[in-house]
Amino acid sequence: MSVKILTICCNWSPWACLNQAQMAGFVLPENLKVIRVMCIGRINQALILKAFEFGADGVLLLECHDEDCRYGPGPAVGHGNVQRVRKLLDLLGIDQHRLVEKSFGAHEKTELAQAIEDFADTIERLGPITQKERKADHYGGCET
Amino acid sequence: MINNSPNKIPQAAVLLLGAGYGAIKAAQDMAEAGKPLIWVTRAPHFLEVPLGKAAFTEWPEDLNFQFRPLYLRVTRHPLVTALTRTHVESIVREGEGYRVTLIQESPFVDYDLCTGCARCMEVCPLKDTTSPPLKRTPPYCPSRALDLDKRKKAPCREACPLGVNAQAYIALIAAGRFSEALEVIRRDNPLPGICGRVCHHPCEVACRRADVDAAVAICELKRFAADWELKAGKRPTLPPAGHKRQERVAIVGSGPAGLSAAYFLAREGFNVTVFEKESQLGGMLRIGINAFRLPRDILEMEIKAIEELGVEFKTSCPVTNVEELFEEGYKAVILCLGAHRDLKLGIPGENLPQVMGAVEMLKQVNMGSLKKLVGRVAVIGGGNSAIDAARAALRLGAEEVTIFYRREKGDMPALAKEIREAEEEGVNFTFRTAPVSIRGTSTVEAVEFIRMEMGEPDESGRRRPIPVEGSQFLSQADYVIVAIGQETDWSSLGGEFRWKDDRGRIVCLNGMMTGRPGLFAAGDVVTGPGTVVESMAQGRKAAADVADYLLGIEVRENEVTSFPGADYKEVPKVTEKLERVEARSREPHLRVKDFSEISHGLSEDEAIYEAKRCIQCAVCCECLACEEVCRSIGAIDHTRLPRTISFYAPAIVVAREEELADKKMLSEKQVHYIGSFNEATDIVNVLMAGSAAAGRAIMDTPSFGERKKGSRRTRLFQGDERKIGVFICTCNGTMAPTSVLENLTHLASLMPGVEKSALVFSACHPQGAEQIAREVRKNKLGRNILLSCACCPLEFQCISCNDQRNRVRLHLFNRLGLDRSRFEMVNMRDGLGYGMWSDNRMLARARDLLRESYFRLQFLGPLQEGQTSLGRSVLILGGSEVGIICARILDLQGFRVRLVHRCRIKGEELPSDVARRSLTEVEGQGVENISEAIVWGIKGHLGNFETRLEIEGRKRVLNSDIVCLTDLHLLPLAIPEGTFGLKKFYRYNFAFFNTPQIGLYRVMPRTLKRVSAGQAGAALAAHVASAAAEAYLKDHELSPRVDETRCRGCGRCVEICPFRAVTFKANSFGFYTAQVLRYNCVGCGGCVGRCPVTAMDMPYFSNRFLDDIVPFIFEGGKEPCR
Repeated sequence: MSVKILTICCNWSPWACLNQAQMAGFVLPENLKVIRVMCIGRINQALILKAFEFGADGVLLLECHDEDCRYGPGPAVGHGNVQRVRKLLDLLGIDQHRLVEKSFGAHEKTELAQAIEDFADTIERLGPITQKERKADHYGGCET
Repeated sequence: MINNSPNKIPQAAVLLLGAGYGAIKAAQDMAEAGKPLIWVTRAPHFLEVPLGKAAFTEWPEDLNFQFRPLYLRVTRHPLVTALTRTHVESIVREGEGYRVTLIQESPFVDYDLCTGCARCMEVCPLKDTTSPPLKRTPPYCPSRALDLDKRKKAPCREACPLGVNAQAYIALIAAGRFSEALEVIRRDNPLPGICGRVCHHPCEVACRRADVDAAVAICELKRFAADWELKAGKRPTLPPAGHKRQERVAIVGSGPAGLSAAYFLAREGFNVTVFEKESQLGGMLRIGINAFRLPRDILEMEIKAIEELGVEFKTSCPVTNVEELFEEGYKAVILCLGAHRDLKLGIPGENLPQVMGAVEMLKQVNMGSLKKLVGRVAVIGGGNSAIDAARAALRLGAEEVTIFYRREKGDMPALAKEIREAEEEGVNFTFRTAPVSIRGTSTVEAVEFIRMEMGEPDESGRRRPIPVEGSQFLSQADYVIVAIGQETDWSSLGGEFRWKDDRGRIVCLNGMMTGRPGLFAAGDVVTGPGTVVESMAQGRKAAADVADYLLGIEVRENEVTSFPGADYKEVPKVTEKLERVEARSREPHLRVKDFSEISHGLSEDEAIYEAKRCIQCAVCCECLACEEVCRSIGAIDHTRLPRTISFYAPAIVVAREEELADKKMLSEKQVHYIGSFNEATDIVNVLMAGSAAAGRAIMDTPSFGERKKGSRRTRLFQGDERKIGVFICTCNGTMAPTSVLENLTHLASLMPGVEKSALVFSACHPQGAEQIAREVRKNKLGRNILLSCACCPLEFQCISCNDQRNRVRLHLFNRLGLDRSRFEMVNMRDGLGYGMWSDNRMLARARDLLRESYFRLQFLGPLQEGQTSLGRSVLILGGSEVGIICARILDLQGFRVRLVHRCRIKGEELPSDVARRSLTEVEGQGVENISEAIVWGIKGHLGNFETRLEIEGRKRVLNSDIVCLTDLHLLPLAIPEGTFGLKKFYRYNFAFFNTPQIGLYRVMPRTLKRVSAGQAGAALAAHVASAAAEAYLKDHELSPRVDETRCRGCGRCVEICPFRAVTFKANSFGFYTAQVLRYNCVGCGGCVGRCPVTAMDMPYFSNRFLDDIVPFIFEGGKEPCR
């Protein structure tokens, strides 16, 4: 069974970087899913945990460099989230390497492609999470 | 919006001259302050390599990205007309301002239409060379549009009398695209097989490759292309004729001039009849040129191709009276009689039966009446006919053939190749001899010659031969062939023909028309004996004149395909020498035995090798392959002309003095120079100076421009939410293979609720967007998916955006009035791996993207909620020089300004320098001067600031739309820098006066270090004017909403927001809940993520969306339901 990777990507530098990488012909791993948010400060710990809960084997947060954040607090918030979620992952018995945050400038497309590849390799090596997976019983907003 | 179209250029506008970051900033300030602007640069774009850097790559690339949103916003601003590759022709005083004349170079690629699909680049035959004519704009440039490098017309093309585009067919042959090469040739020359064999190729004389080693064998390449077609089993075919016209045209003579005239007239749709007095067609091509040089089947097939266009040929049909043709109903007649009568030597013995003219002899040979010629043959003359006659004589059995020529070998008009081949075959040459008499009674016995010596050069540049007294000698001969030139044979038309001169040539009075209206002439009959290609050029010219005459066109517009100033590509270095390929031919001793063709032509490999030797002087070869693939887009047009633009400029801002013709202009009134910078200048200084220049220009033009009034909101099309539309951009066929996209469209149509799923040829193209809008309106689609390269429907531009993505949204939402909140857009283009992945993999990926976006549809919701009405009252705290200048400028702009000269923050002392400062009251209609005040605090937001002041012991609250702090000691009133690492915020906003709170501006000490107080004041005024220019300030489209019933007032959102966009307010129960000041909000969503009870939510990236997308993308097997 192949692993699944979720990338949560800030709309600014990393998104531009990802765009540039794809335009330049870097091919992203097929098992990589990307969610774009305006700022990495937008998401909270719950979302990261949710990803693990629903079957992600690795979560990669792509953010701007600390000093580049367009809004100010983004990377700091992201950083805090990662630290706290890692502690929780530890309690759950999930390898902490499955959650990684990386920061990029808009021009660092090669570095970004490399980082994604490395992360995909790491997760490939660690294999799928063996902890019990929860099935979505309400997903897709079907209850509404 | 999309404003480069010619009819949208304003009559009056501020001129902004030059590229660069200062200019970008100045453009932003002026445009946002409501001043129409024409922005001009010679460069291909408005970015400028920073000083001291050789290329953009040396610049921290990141900064180019940071400029991108601003660049896109400014260049597509409705008030900005951005013209690249444009220069100033003249600037003259006119009234208060200037009359400016600009010239824009031919925009071969239309920046507003180019979608960046790059199909043109793919089909360009020169794409793999070292200097491809079509290039993508470099990655730092915020557009995917392509750039076309076009120079002067190539010398080979200029040299060709017919103007055949040699460069293009060479390029196509080099790329192995032989049939296209042939198509290019046939645009200008219907007889490639013939010309490839017998042309005197002036193109090769002009060839610049000769500067390296030897000229490219252009003629052989043409022959190769024609032969290739025959080898491939095809018969020559010409492009089909245009729509049929009624007029009939008669052409007299089927030689090269007649054939070419017939072809070009037939292509125009005329009914053409060609009259030929001989029994077979071809004129001199058949009569005068030997079959071993020009095989008869080639001749016949190429004439046949012309016949197939609908040209009627009448052989053995001499025309005796031109007027009869007109009486028969021909509206025009072209005389292409050629020059078939041999000139006489005028010496004794010339009337002997064995003395023949060359044309007479060749005609007998080629028509089959002369089959044998035994004995010694003397040929007199040095032209191609002489050589042809000599070589024909050899093949007829003559034992000895000698050519007698009165000048040197190098002076012979015959082609060098012909002379060489004749020598190989055993033709003897005797130079510097002229015949005196022909001896013999009933048959020729000998020819008496006299030796010549070379005297002074004559008008032809060749040295004049002078007979040497007493050097007569006798040469034995059985036949004499006289090849000293030809003239037109007027016998059939009768001697009465009026329009000829005393040399027997027709005199054309008007183009190719003779004195008789409708009677034209072309070819040797006009010029005297010429070459095949010259005659064909004559024929073509006559055809064009006939068409003009019959259609009543007075002046034909010249095609301009090259522009001055762009010189040829440099000739490569000598080290790259490559030998020229010569076609192989049959062995001389074998070939003299028959009339079969002697040259084998080039092989495919040889042709490609030879074609690759071409330098491609003009870079773009104009093969027009790109125009063909760009047809539906219409961005590429090789014939666009430069245009001249004239307008009135009330003020001029100069960013680069190099763009200005006369640098003295800089000191004129109303001309503002952003300034010259050195390497040490940092980017902020440049921006600052740009802003200051904009401020001064704004001051110069108080009543110019308009301020938008009333609501800018137009009713957007809503549609029915249950109906879903899916639009897939094919990006002019480069998104994915058609089968993949068609499959995808089909899959989309099966999704629940999808009313319409359609392919769009290009979403960023005006017509593509119109197609989408039409479908949306027709089917009342309430929610739509667009799979293209645009990655979101939002209004702001982020640093990933480019011009094409931006254009999709401008077209759909601003121009065509669709609602962006009803659209979901996904960037499919960059994730699809076209060219790398298999079709199935691409389809799988595209399907994933489609499903994800379909899933997202349910979270679409209103984006923008409201607008704040903005007034024009400004409160300036601090009467420093900055404040005073700012107040003056704003007063002229019609702002209501309150200027507090000396003020201090409550509880602090007034600094001594401020206390000592003299009061300069600003006089103006709208200025209220307040000399002293104590500031208690500032509250509110843009459009509604409340400043509490103590003036002369009385407390007052001053309401204003904007507040400016111009004294240093007042800075603590703004949010200090450094809060939440906010330093970089200023860097990316490029607004040095900004505080995190929009509408509250301040002047920092570091700004005053960069520029003078006067400049700072002007820049500040520009900034205020641009902030207030929009009568309504919109909310941030992504600003969050607070669910008051859930908010528990913990204050985390207030704490995290660096922009003071979240505050508390008491709800109806008296509890304090969060409230978002939507005008301060920047839409990052930090507060939404921070909220522990999900009381806050934002559009587009909503909580529910994030909650649901995660399970969806991991367990997305099932289709989601609504």
